[in-house]
Parts: sequence; structure tokens; C-alpha cells
Amino acid sequence: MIFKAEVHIMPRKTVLDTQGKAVEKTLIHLGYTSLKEANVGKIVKIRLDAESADSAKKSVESMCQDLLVNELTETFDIIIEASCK
Amino acid sequence: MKTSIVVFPGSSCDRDIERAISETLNTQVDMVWHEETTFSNDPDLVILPGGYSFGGYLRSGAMAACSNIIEAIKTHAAKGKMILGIANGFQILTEAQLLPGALIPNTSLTFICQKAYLRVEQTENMFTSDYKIGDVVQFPIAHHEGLYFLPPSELKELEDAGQVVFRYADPVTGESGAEYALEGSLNGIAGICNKKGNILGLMPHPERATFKHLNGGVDGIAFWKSIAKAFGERGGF
Repeated sequence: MIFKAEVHIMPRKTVLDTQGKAVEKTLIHLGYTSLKEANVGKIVKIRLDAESADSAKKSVESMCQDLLVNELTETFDIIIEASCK
Repeated sequence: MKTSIVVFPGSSCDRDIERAISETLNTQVDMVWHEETTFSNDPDLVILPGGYSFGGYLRSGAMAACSNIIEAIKTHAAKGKMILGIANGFQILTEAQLLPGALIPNTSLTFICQKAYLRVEQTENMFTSDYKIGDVVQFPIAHHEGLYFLPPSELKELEDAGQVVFRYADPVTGESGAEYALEGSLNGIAGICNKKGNILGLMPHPERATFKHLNGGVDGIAFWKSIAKAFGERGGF
């Protein structure tokens, strides 16, 4: 069965999010004074073949450890859904 | 002495390094493509050059750290032989977990390309024995992801173990620290080594401080001489 996965990668709170800070400053400069914080991360979209949603998630977790995420500086969430294609 | 320079798609400092070491070290130099699984010449020194391997996609050095040659580099490291990572090469060494920490985007969010001044913080490794502790050298920097990061407890361990080799410094007073790190590196760290002292990673470029006609500085020559000295003292490996 084909599954769609999204990996949401964000900088850890303990790491300075330089892109987030730049976006924050620019939005405030544009007049969005109610803005409290902005963070910038990455989304990796994956389609994969797996027997179940659980095994799809395990494969994607393994991909995160091997390449997609540096856990020293980043955190991640995985969203899995069945794909019709 | 034999040296292998690993070339990744997007490496751009490989030829500069070849030129620098060919003129300062008595070494045979091989360029090795990253898809190779072994080093055919059994090198004493492996160098990972600067540049933008794999376009710097995902994270600097992340894709290169998955190249075939990395296993051979790990075997080389385990034998206690020398490994040097400069700029992107340093990023690859951290991604491959051969050195601790990570290099993340500069606080300025800009690419910084200029002369940098570094204080030599320790000389008990294979790359800085020709300097004295406290020497201030000028090596240029050219990076966008050069901020050295390590969580506080691990950073303290690194400092306590004396693994910080180069720290950004004031060229006049020789004082080093975070305030002199243009990209915001923690504790002003510019280069570190592993506990054994056979693996060194640094963001500044000693190969660009080797020829007087390039930028007026030759502080990198003692860096290459330190490597020759370490090799000589061991009578080879």
C-alpha cells in the first residue's frame, strides 16, 4: 500500500533560529506589531510503499535518523496518511 | 608521506589545497572521488575540502556524510591517522559524527567572506604543533553555515577536554572569545579536534593563507609544517 508522509523539521528551541528571527523582524517592519514569534523549518514530503501506517512511520523515522534530521539542532514530527495513488 | 583529497560534487577548494600542500609538504597527493569505497594509496592524511558539496541541500555536509568514501574515512580515523576537514569538510566531519557538534547558519544570515584572526588554543594535536599557544594567525573565512553549535553540557566537556584548537580573536590584543566570532560561533570556536588529536575540523581556510600573492598572509604555512612534523615524529604510521 502506498502512504504519504510529511516530515516537519524545526530548529530546536535551544538553537538560534536565524531565519525565524529574520522573518520576525521583517514582519514587524511591515507593521505586524501583534507578532510574537516566527520560526522557519522544513517539510519533506515522501511517498512510500509499506504494509501498514505503522511500518511506513518506522521507515520514515529511520530516514530521519540516517539523513533527514540532525537531532542535535533539529526536532521532527511525522504525519502519515494513506495515499489513493 | 601520502595524502588523499576527497572530492565531492560541489567541492571547490580541492585544487587550492592540492597546490598549498604540494608546495609546503613533501607528499604525494591523490584526488579521490567520493564514490570510491577505499583509498587505493593507503594515505597518511585525508583532507575533506571546502565548497558546497551536494549544493549544501538539506544541511551543509549531510548528503556528503552518506557518501561511499565515508566508511573508508572512518577506518582511516580508527587507525589514528590524520584527517583534516576545512569549512565544508568540517561540516561533513560533524555530520558523519567524526567530530562533535554542528555548523548552522551565521547569525547575520549572510555569507561572510573576509580575513579572520584566530588564537591558537592548543598545540597537542597533529595540526598545530609548529605554533605556540597564544599565537594569533590570519586565515580567511568564507561561509554561510559557520556557527559552531553544541548543547551547553557537551560544549563544557569539549572545552574541559581541551579540544578547542582555534578560537576567533582580536588581532591586536590577542584576546579570543565569542565577541570576535563574526558568524556567532559558541565560545568563539573556529576549529576543534577529537580527543586523540588526529582529526581536526576548522571553518577558516589555511590553504588561502599559504601564498603571499593571494592575500598577503602566509600564516597557514606553519599549519602544513605541523602536519609534516607530526608525521615525522611518528616515523610514518
